[in-house]
Amino acid sequence: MAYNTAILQGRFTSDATNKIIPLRSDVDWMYVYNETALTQAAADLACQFYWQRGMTNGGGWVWTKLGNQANDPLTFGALAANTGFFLFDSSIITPSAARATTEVSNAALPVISTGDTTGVQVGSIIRIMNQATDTELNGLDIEVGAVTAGVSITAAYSFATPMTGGVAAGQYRLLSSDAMFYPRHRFIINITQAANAVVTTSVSHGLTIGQKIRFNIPTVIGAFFGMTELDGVLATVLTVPSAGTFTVDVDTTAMTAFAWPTAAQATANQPYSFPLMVPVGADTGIALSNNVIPSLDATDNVAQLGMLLTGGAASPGGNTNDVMYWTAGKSFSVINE
Amino acid sequence: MVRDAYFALCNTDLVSDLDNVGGFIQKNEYPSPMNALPSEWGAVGNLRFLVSSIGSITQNASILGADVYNIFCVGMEAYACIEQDGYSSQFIYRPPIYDGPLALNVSVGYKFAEVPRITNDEWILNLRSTLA
Repeated sequence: MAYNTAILQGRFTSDATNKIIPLRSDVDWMYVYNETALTQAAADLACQFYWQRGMTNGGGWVWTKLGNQANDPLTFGALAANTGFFLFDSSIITPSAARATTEVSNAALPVISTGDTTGVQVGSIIRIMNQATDTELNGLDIEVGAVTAGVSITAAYSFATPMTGGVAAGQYRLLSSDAMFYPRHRFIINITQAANAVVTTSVSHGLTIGQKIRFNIPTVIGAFFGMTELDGVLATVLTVPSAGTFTVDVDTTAMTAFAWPTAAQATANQPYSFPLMVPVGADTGIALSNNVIPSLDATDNVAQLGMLLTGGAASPGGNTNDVMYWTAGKSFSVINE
Repeated sequence: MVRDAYFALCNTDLVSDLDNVGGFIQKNEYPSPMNALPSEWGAVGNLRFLVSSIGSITQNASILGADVYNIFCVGMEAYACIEQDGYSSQFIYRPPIYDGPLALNVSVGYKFAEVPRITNDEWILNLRSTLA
């Protein structure tokens, strides 16, 4: 094989969401085959997809099986914009263009109304900004817990207190990927008063039992985020009840209650920093006693280079339970005029 | 006079704003500028600013959606670099005659054997700023 060429292949079962295929060698062309679509008895299913360097990012070609018999003839066409292949490099976080929002619900689990949810799916991270009313959200990254296409985005994790809420102009940006180094620092949106405090982050924390974190709880005014007693405290993760919560070995029962500021407080006290948890190490004893690798205090570069396949029956990411095969290659030479 | 100071590591985009900070001492105004580091831009208070084009930026993260610059202010021995096997990295170039029987291609690559590590996170502060 000549220099700079490589062919990779693989298979995955679709869950109808966007699928990232890590391709460390980078990629110049890619085929994706939907085996389930080829063999099932449903009409006009997209079963083969192709992209090569030079095509529009998010585009590609599609072969669609005509009729409802397995292995029926195919027809050939172009994928609609932003429904196909996206080159993916998670070492570079590229926020999307600003998208308008129209309302934030008055809830601890806010629902953000927007007419543009392109590319947003459960697990995506969005960055809130320029909210005219709900200024307490401005500058914050939140994970998407639910999305209604073209209508709204719901946060994945609940805040300590409900948002101010209201119909007002605002904006958000969709982040192309998460931070490249693990473990990641995260914004804290709730801490319970308990013998072993439960901490909630605005984006899935990814922590495991035994990891150590340091709290950074800024003092803004008397009652803003509250629980400033935790500022600078080093804590060990004891349990991980969910992707967005973890418990620590700190008794917060006697501390000031944690709160999320109101819009009025936020507006009056800008600029300020959000509460933060920063992973700083690990308790090896706790890690070993919980069968967790003791090297979990290491910092890993988890960035990936590859291809993002848009999910869905008409896209290369496939529909739920579709069995997808793919081949991808690196060309010896690319001449795009 | 530049006194003993902490290093502040930041992006090159900030140099104009640093110039406008009250009391900022340019590197060429140091009593001994030859002792300054190549990346050093100047000093103010107890901070000496080192700039890099790959300095940390969190895009569109301010309240109004502006880029936020992370300025890491570090104390002595707040972090360390362990150079394994006595070297940090090697850039390896092979000319054509060594890289193939027909001497048609060259190759380059690198080996990296270094472990940067924060030794005490309490000795590092993140001073965040937008551009003026």
